[in-house]
Amino acid sequence: MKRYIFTRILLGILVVFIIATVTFFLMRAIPGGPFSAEKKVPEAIKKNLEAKYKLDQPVWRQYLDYMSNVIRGDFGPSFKYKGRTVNDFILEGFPISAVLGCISIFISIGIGIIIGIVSALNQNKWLDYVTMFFAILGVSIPSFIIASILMYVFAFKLRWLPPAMWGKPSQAILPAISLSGFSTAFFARMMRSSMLEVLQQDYIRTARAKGLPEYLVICRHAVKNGLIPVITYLGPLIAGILTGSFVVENIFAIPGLGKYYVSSITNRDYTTILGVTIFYSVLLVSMNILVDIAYAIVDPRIKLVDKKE
Amino acid sequence: MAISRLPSDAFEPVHRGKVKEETFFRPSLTYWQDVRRRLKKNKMAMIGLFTIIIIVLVSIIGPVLAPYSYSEMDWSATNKPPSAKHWFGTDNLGRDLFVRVLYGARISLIVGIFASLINLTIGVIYGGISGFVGGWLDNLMMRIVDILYGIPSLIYVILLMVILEPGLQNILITLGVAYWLGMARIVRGQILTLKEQDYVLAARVIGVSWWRILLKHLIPNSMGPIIVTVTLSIPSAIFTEAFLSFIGLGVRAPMASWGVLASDGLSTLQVYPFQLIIPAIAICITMLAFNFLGDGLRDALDPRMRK
Amino acid sequence: MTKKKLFIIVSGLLIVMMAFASVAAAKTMSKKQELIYNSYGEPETLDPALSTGVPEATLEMVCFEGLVRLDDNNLPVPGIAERWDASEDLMVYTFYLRKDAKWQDGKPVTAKDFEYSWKRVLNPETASQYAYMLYYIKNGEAYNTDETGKFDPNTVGVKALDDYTLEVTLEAPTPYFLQVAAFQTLYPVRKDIVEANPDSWATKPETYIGNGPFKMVGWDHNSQITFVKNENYWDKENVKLDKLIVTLVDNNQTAVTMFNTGHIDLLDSPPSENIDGLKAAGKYFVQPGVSSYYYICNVAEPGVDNPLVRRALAMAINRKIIVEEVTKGGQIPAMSFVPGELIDAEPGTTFREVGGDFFKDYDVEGAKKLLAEAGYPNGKGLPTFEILYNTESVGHQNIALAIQSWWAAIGVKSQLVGQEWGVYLQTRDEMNYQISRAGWGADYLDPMTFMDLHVTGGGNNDAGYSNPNYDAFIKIAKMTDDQKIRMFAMHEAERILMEDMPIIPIYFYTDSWAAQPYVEGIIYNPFGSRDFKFAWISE
Repeated sequence: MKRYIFTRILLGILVVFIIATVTFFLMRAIPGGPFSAEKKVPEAIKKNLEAKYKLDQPVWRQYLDYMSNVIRGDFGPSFKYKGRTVNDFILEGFPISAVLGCISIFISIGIGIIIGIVSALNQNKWLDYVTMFFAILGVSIPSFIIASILMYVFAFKLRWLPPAMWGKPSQAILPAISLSGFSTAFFARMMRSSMLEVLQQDYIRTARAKGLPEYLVICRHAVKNGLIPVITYLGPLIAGILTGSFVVENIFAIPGLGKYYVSSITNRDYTTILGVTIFYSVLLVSMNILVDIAYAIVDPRIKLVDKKE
Repeated sequence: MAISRLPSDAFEPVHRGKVKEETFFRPSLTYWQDVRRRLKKNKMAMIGLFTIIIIVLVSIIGPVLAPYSYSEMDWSATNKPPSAKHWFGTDNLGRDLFVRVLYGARISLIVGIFASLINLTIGVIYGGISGFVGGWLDNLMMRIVDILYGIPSLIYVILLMVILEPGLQNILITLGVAYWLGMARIVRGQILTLKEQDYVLAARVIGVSWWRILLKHLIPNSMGPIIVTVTLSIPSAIFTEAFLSFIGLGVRAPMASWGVLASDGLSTLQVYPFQLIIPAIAICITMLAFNFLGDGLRDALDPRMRK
Repeated sequence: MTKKKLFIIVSGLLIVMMAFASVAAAKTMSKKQELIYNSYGEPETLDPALSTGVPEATLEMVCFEGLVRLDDNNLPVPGIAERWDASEDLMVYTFYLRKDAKWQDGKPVTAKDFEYSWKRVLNPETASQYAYMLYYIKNGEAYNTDETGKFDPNTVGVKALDDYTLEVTLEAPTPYFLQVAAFQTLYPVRKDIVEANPDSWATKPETYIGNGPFKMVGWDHNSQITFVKNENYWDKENVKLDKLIVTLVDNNQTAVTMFNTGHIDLLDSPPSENIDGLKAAGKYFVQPGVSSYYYICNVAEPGVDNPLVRRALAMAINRKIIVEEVTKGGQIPAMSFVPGELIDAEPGTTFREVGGDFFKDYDVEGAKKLLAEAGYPNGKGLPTFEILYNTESVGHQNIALAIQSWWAAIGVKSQLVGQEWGVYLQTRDEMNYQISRAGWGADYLDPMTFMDLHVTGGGNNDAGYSNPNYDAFIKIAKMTDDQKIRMFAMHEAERILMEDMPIIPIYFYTDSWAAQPYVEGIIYNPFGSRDFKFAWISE
């Protein structure tokens, strides 16, 4: 196992390196630059700007410089927000995105799994259909529409909650619900489906046959085993919630990291594009390693490593 | 010990017609016949299927019969709520929303179905091979997924925009690049568990080829998560299409999909909520139909539920 | 997302704007003098030397003050300079600084601060985008564009004669230099502060030391900035607000919801969907702007290479519908290029009044006739035109759709090409389009800021237009200071431009905002910036 983890980490670094390299060259291949504008900047001044940000050097040189800085943990200065660094953005923005993301994941796991169990136990009864209806609603309507509707209803019409901004707990409610919509529904559907499968397994029959009370059968055997496929998806889903938060952060004016995920590309803010991409890649890769390990722990049947090793 | 010889007259040939033939109380069914039979018995799944068929038919026939075109503007009737004249009302340019929703259905359904196909083919096969073969190949294939997942899609979308003319095909290419990654991961996870089961071992022992094991045993047994993932990925494909169309990669305006209609309606939520609600309802109904059908399929395809 | 980029540069030669200033006598001051203003999105920088946008200019004006300020008629009034005089030939300005002017930490503001700050802007290493605001000063351009690194900054025409006297020598006589002096690029910054943290001093309140009516006390990046009254400001008696909170919400739907629920007091450019509601509540205000929205034709492309076709396309558009049904913000239909608020040679007249319109709005018959005359009766023989626009907001697309329908009505087929901002800019720059959306905002308040756009080979001449007669008139206008000759030449140039129609005018922008009824005393600059020095809250 130790050797497996070690290999995975090495490979993870390679993956991040490839992502960064591909992104670097793709980004330089797309039209436009950080200083292009409808009103063109005079040539001489553009030269000064390019010299300041070292854009006047050959691309391979810029690539090498950038990479050696990244290894030292320096993602460089933003081209758009002068005087600010990409490290600033990550240090300020990520904790906020992470808090928002954690609340959402907590909501979606909690509610999603409960809904999933309830509808599995009531398969094809009205309770199943009702929960399914809401789950589908949550999945069909993307977060930006849910967010706008929630803001309209609870902030504008009812005036129960503040419409936007970040800082007070009351300001986290609407964004967290909007962000968790898809994953709640996803967990609910996944849980229902995997519970239905587990409930037909022999060991459940055995458990029932030996006279175990139904709630114990459900809790001890069915739910535990039903969770396995759900866990597989936890990694990508968490990464998705974190990177997907930009829409919700934009709508609720939350100063998280998600905003840079899209705006840096629109602004051709090269260093920020790369910094944020690398940061999220590291996050994604480590999440996947953790999920694979967790997977092996939850289900001892899984062999990630060939026995030969 | 020698086996005592039986006399040759110990056996008597059975003549057909002499004894009552064995009767089959249940016809023997192939796997797919059984799937169809079970699907037909599932009421909700049939409702879902018929809804989808109706939506498809209406989206094909409806626009031909409608008195308006999807691009025709009536400046004297902008932002009108639903009425007898305009069933779904009009938008900010005075275009009939009913006709636009009908046309939008075509694009959104194509996108949704294509995304499902991508998931079902590339995603399932890729994840299946990765999980089943395991070892270094699994590691390599999953790292490729990581890389594709990590590169910000907006960048290659912009690059595609430079290379290609706007149109539906770009949406399909973009979906093709990125839309099977989640599925591949899920299938691979499922296969990892399933391949350690006894029936796989048994199949291996009797010399069943690996791809047969994969296709006949492992993938059918992973149908639950696969179907859930497929059905739930449809709306995100529909809205990805809207986003891509908005930034100029997708279908040319004034043609609009449901996703585009809903996104446009969003800005007028406070003033003309119907412009958002109507396309949103259309998406939800379609999604419900797909999910009912998906659940039915899941039950029908699951070999363990075979009776 | 809808960050307004008007790219102001300076209020130039002539000033006309009647800014919206409501100082009704009957209103009394509220006890709580606190105002919440929304600025769309995180400012790119608040370093006056580096900033380029309107929102940044507004926030810098809160914390800094230059030699002069502009009053509500956009006329220069004493700021840090108490008085000034100019030499006969308008080549040398001498500014006498007030002795009671202090930085917010109590240190005096001196002429040396200005000298340092201006040279800092011109220093190529600072890479200031608006350095050309100081090209008016002797050797300013030479210093800024020097590539050898050997240029002596002391030859630049700005010199502190003593702590309170600043002498400025110009390259050429510049009657509007005082307006330039009020511009944010020319604000003083503190040498010790800047040199201690050259990159990051303007990013946090501890080191953001200004000399203006307010001082920054908090900056939650991407969220909000808090300013309080600066007790060391020389004119603090006239500053009534105790606190100014600037929210940095960049989603305009969210911002307007915050306004409607009372979380914001003043909001610029509310989205068009909400204008009707705000108008009904008496909270919507609008004044003419100084920008033009138009389509450019690539004059090298078949079809649009024919001026008759271009004119037919221009005449077929129904601008009244566009401003009333699509943009809704009270924009003004444009049948000419130069917006209405720039004044002409005769006092009291505007360039637009004198020039008039060059064609009739929505003249379908006229358009058809021109098409036939061009050899394309009912559009027969014309290719399908592509209309290029950028996709950041849905507004450009709606306008393009409407125009597409009117062109179809005269038989001209077209299709829409929406592109992401960076791609769009490059497509335009490389002249890879047929017809493209465009916009231009005044750099200074003189028609020349629009008129010299289309000279042959001009850097921003994306139409590829070239007409020697046009070039000649622009040249004449640039050679003289005589307003009569200048204006005559520019009117002639505009007439030629509208005859050749490389650009199809659509509308003139407005400057709009939503304000709660208790917001008073703000100076609304037509470029879109706001001055909060005299702002106050009524009961």
